[in-house]
Amino acid sequence: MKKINKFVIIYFLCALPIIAFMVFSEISEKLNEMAKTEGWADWVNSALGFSMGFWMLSAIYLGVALIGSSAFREELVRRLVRIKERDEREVAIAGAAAKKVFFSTIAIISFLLVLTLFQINVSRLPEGKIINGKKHVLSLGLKFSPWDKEFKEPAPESERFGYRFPLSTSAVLLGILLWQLGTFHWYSRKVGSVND
Amino acid sequence: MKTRNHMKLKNKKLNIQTRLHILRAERRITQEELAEEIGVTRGTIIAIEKGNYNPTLELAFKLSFFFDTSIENIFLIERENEKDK
Repeated sequence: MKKINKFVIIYFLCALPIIAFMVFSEISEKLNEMAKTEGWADWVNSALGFSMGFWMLSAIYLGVALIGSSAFREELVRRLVRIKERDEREVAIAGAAAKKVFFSTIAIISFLLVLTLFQINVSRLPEGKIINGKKHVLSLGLKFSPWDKEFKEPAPESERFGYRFPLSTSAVLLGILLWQLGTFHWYSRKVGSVND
Repeated sequence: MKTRNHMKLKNKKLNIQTRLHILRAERRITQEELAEEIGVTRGTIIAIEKGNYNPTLELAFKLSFFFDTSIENIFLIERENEKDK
């Protein structure tokens, strides 16, 4: 693994607890207030801000590297899940485990996709609209929208640049599902193809 | 097309037995040493000896070369109709 990748991974993992603490606690807000009067607080606030900025950059770098470099992806995932492929039996075990994971992931993603697509509402009818003594109505809905409803384009005058992931949960799940099935199909055909 | 023994192989599960532990005992070598010699882990030798793992043809040939014997002498197939013969 390249030295820069190693450094980024170590920084990303080591800084993760500090970043999580900063995000989930209110320490950064308190430090912001204290920084107005206390010199040391200003220094700590700047250091933490720099660390968080660099951590976000390292997260983006890792994300891009994982997508872009298959060698890096393989090396990192191999270490994370401690895959050992020292001989043919261990290769077969890793393959069987990967198959199990693949099938179960497909099942989980499909289940989550179904959950995001369907809507079930039980609502009380107004007094005047009660039919045959029934006070509640059950409605089932099926809806798919590729875009996140809360996503709004930044107003051109107020913001010069704004970023927020625009896809909806359903679209992401569908995308991953299609990617998994498509990639598996393509790769198995590629590897399994027999040239006469 | 029928096979030599007219066996229906389509849905047949072959019961493969191994003599690896016997051959290893005859040569007085440990699982670790054998694994080192043929380039696999000790876990693989244990799995083969216990019948939990059927090696590839390549590994089977490596074992046959190492013990200087045929593959059929290391791995035996227990046939159901052998008793009837």
